[in-house]
Amino acid sequence: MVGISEIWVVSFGPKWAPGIGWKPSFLTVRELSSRRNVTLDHVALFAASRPPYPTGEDALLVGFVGEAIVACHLSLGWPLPSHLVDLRVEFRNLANGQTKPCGDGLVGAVVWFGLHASEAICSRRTLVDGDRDVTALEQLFHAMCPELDLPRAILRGRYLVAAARIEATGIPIDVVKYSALKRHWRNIVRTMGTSVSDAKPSSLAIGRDGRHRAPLCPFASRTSRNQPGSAASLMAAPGWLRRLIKPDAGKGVAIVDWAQQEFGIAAALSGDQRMIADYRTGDPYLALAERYGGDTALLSRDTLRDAFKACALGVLNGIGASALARQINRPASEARLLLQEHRSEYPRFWRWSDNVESHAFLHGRLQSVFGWGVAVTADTNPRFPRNFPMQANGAEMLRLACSFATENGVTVCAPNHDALLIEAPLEDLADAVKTTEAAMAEASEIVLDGFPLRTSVTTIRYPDHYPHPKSDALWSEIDRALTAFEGSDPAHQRDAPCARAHPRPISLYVLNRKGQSDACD
Amino acid sequence: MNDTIDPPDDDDGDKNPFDPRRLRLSQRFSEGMDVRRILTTVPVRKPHRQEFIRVHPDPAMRLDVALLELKEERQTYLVDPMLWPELPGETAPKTLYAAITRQGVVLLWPVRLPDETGRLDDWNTSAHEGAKRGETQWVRVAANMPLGAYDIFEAVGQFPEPVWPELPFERLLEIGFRDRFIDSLDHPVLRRLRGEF
Repeated sequence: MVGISEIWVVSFGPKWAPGIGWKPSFLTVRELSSRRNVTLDHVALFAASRPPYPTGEDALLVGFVGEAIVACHLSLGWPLPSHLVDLRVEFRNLANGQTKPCGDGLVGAVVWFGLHASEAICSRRTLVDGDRDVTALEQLFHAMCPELDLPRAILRGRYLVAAARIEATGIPIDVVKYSALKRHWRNIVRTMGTSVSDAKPSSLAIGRDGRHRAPLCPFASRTSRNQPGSAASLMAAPGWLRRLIKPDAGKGVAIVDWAQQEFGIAAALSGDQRMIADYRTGDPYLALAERYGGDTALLSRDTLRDAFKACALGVLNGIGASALARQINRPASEARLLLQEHRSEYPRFWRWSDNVESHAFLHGRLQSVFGWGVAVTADTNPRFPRNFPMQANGAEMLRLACSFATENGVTVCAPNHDALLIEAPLEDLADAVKTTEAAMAEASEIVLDGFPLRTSVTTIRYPDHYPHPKSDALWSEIDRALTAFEGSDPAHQRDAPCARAHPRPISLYVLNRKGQSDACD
Repeated sequence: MNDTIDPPDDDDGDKNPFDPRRLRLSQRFSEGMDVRRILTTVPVRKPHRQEFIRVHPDPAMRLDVALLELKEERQTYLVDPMLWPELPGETAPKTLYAAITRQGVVLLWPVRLPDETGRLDDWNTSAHEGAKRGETQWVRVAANMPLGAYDIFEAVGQFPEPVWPELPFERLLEIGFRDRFIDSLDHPVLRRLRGEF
C-alpha cells in the first residue's frame, strides 16, 4: 500500500455508555509485519499520554467498530489516526445484500470467511479477551485482504473519524422541557393518545451535560446510510421530539441541508439535461408543473406542483400509478398521466434507470461511487436497484461532507439523511454555516462528478428551539398539557435531574477515568 | 464492476492516493453495452388523443397494405396482397406508418387510403396530414367531432428527438401482426366470416 509501512490491529474493548459515548476498557494492539504486541490495562491506558503506535500517514489502524476506536482516542486525548480501516464496515460491504448466518458482528465476519470462531467469541472485557480479539482481527484482516479495496476502505474509515467526533459532540437539549416531558409522559399519552404514543422520550440518552448522544450506527443500512435506532436516537425518533433541541446560552445551531438531494443525484448521474436544467431552476417540481400546466386546467399550479413532487420523488422509489394516486389523493388515471409525463420529460433518466436495473440483475451487484456494494439476486425487489444509486451516493455525499466539515473545525452535532446539524457560538455561527455549505458543495461535486447541489440553511439561536413545522399544532398541545401537569405537580419546583443552568463540560464525562457511566437517569 | 474514472491531472505532483476525487467510480452502468431492449410488441392502432408522437420520416418505414378489421374483437389483420381480389368489401386499403410516442412506444398507425372512387374523408385526410407533420415535429391528433376531422397539435417546446429501434419495417410488421396475418382463404378468420363455423 502506497506510503503505509505499519499496520496495527487495535482493540480497546469499547463499551457504549448511553448519553456519554464510547469508553475504552483496555488496549491490545499488534503490528502485523513485526508481530509486536502492546497491552495496556485500564489504569495504564488512562495514564498514557499518547498511543503506543504511530498515528501518522505511514500507519494504518485496523479494528472492528472503527468509530469506537476513534472515540477512545478522543476520550484519552490522543491524536486521531490518519488511516483507519474498520473490518466491520468492510465485512458489511462485502457481504451486503446476502444472508449472514451468524450476523454482522465479529463472529459473523469470522465465520463468513471460514475462520474458527473461537477467538472471536469473547466478552471483550478483559485483557485476555483483548488478545483473542486482536488475534481474531488479524486472521480476519488476512482473510479479507484479497477482497479489500483498501483506498476506499480508508476513505470509509475517514468518515468514522468524523462520526466519532459527532457522536462525542452530541446534540444540545432543553433539559428542563425534556425532564418535564419524561416526568409527565404517562399523563400526556393518556391525554393525547395515539398521536404521541409512538415516541419514547425515556429511551433517549441524555448526558448530564444536557446533550443527547446516541450511536450513529454508520453503514448499518443496505445503502450504507447511518441507521440509528428510533428509540435511542433523537434524529430517528418522531419529528416532533426534535423540538427538544435547543442551543446552549450564547450559541446557535443550524440545519444545513441539500435541496432536492435525490432529484439532483438522479439528474447528475443519469446525465438527463432537462432534469439537470430543472434542478437548476431551484424548484424542479414547479418547472415540471408549469410545462405540464397547459393541459390540466382542472388543477391549480400549486396542486400540480405537489403532485409532480410526489411523482418525481416516487419515481425514484419505483412508485406505481395506484400508490401515487393514493399519495396525491387523485384518480389513478391522473396518476398514470403524471407518470407518463415524467417518462416523456426525462427520457434519458429513464434509460439510465433501466440500465441500472439491467446491470444489477445481470452482474448481481451494484455499487456507489466509492465502492459501497450490494448483492442483487433474483429475489431482490426491482425497485431497490433503481433507487440504490440515489440512496447510496446520497450517503457517500453525506459522509464526505461530515469529514470535510469536521476536519475544517465545524462542530457537527448530527447528520440527518441529507442535512447536517451544526453548532457554534452566536458570533461564529455565520462562518460555521459558510464552511459547512462549502463542505457540502464540495462533497456533492465530487460524488456527482462536477455537479454541486444547492444547500439551504435554517438557523436557531438561543433560546429558540429546533423548528418542526409539521408538528406545530401537536407541540402546542403537548406544551399546554405539560404546563397544566407541572402546575398541578408540587414536585415541579424541584430541579430536574438533568437540568443544569451551566452544564458541566463534556470532558468531565467522556474523560471520566473511573470508567463510570455518568448519564442522566 | 464499473470502470474507474481516470484521476485528474495533478500539476503540483503532490498526489494523495486517498483523495476522494481519485477514488470515484463511474455510475454509468455500462450504458447501452450490457443489454439492449428487445422489441416484442408493436401495437397496431391510432395514437391516443393524449399521446405526442413522431412518424418515421423514411419512406421505407411505411407501407400501403390491406387490413381486415374485426370490430367486435378489436383486432386488425394484415391480408396477403394475393388475396385482395378475393375479399372485396372485407378489407380496407391503409397506409401503415411507423410511429413512436414520447414514452418510446413504437406503434404502427393505420390511416385509410382513398377508395376505388378516389375519395377520402376529412378524418383520414387530416390523419395523413398529422402523420406528415409528425415526421419533423412532435404532434398529437385528437378527434374533433363537430369538425368531422382530427385536430393536429404541434409541440411548441424543444423536445428531444425520438430514439427509433434499429429494425427494418418488415420486422415491425412481423412483430405487429405476429399471429394476425391472413395468407390463405382457409384462414380461420375468413372461414368464420363465410359462416363455415
